[in-house]
Amino acid sequence: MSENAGLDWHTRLLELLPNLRAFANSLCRDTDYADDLVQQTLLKAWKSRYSFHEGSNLKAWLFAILRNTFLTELRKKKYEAEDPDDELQNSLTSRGGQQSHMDMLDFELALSKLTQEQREVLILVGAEGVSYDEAALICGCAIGTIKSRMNRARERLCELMGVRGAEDFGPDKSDLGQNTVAPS
Amino acid sequence: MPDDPSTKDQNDNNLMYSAMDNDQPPERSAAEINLEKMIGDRLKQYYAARLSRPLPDKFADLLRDLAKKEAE
Repeated sequence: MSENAGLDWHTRLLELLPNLRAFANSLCRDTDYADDLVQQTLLKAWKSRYSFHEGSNLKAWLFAILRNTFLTELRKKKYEAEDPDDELQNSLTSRGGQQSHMDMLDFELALSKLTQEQREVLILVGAEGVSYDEAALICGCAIGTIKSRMNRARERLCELMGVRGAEDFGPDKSDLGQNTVAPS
Repeated sequence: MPDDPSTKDQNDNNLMYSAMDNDQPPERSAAEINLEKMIGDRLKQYYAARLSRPLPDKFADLLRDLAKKEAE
């Protein structure tokens, strides 16, 4: 590492902070805890920076550290924002029989009911925009596993929302007519 | 052994169909593609809201401290 490595490292970590924080938030769904996770990730990354291979994917490396930290703590503390009274589930399933409207609150609730593995893959690939390869790297599994988790996550999300097609999405749907594929 | 030209096309066709049967994902309907797009849009909205949250100073402070210690 060069003399300026400390400075470069500092800048590069700073640039990725919003993404790290958003990913942490999506994983644990608790702002304070997400900030703790980010802080721990920064410390670990700084400590291990000499083991990072220059030219490889820094974002994937940091996300993997954050994810591992989260999972280790989850196992240790059995921390999970569960829904003990199943209020979320009830609120979702009660609407399942209707032509449900998908607003953002419903979406977030449904997302929170997914397994941790399903949620993280949706966030990584669908929102953060990482490739299947990168997601496999971050999650420490095969690309095929990521793809099947992704499919299952989408299916489960739709199931929870009572959504069967794009037409079931709520009023804040985006440009349905312009950006979607015309039915054959 | 060279290919027998009389059966080559048939073999190619068989190989092609076999590859289609085994390797190609089933064709997705327009409805499925639209649904995927809608889910993708929602995910991006959800994530964008988290990405745009203002960062507390504590992270930058921490990194600055670490860089400072490194320099000393």
